[in-house]
Amino acid sequence: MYRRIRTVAALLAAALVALTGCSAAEDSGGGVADVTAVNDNSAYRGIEMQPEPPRPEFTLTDQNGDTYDFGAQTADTPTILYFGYTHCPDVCPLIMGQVSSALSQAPDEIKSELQVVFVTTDPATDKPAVLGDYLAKFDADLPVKYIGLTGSLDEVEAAQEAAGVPVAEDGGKTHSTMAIYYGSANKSHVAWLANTSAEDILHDLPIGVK
Amino acid sequence: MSAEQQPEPGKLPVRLVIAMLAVIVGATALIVGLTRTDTAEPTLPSDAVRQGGIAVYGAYVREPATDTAAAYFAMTNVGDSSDTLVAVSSPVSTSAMLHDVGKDELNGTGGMDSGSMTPTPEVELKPGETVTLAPTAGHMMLEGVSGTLEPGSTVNLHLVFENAGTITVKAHVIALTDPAPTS
Repeated sequence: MYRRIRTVAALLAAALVALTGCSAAEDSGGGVADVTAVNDNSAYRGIEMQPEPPRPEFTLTDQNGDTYDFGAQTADTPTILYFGYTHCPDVCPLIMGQVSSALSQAPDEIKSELQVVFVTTDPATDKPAVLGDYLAKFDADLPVKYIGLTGSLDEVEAAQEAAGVPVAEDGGKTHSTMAIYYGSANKSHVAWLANTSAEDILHDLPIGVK
Repeated sequence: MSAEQQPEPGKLPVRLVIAMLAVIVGATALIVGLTRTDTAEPTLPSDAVRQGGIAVYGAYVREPATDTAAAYFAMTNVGDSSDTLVAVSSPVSTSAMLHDVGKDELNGTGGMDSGSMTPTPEVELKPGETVTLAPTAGHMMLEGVSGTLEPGSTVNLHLVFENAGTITVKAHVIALTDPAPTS
């Protein structure tokens, strides 16, 4: 018998535990176990979002120094949103690289439209030009160039809250590792954790595109 | 079920007999298999560098997008006494340190990993113990990487053990978009 899986609320409860340096001894709450329940009936290889969070609204500054209204400028467009920082050695280059690899193999109609948005959790370091250099490593062979967003610490924290991910700590180093995929109907059906392979992302791209 | 399909009294249906045989064969195979693995010597990968009681293998570095890179490797204590990894360095970076080594790999547990970066100053290896660094389960952070690390090239990693001394391994550089190698 399979339970209806994972609510975003449970995800967030779990995430907050991770953020507060969860130890085995810590009471991690019943919700955490629910999140790990594998839903064999899911069409997705990533984490199926139930209920489906809407595309968030926030405004930051892009890598060209221009104002970027995420809600308005990505509206009705399949979008992958990720919060990380450029000097992250481990999970950020991993998931960004796997997203790039998946997109390079994706059907043309997805590849030519899908927007990837990277929001820094370390705005003190990640100025627009820094983000531009960083993202150029990932989108060089793709038709749609990635967007890198920065702002004041308050602004990037507000963006994380709007997207429903736990707010980063420790100078941005402890951050959510979920890449959230919003479809053209402005809801997210699926998100991928940092250790998701390009193959699994590629599998989910067309299913969650609407 | 019609009467003619009923098995004769005292005789098991053929399908049940076959199923029972399969279980017996399977159980036998399991016992044989278990016996074999119990007595098998652990075999190290061909790229293993062994020094003293420590073997290090599967080392790679993901090509960095900035001047901060991460290296991964596995290490096994093949000796009969404990040893401790006390320092790490690489000639390609100004500094290096271990983070989150020994942490369980992210597998959906807790729903979301925090991408935390907890320094791991020392890693003890008991006899027979293996510690594997992998994305979301520990890495060796290389800071201040000079020049570019070209995919296909190798970089040296120096791992200083209390007893085994300094072990140098060649880590292969993989591209940013390469999948994580599975050991």
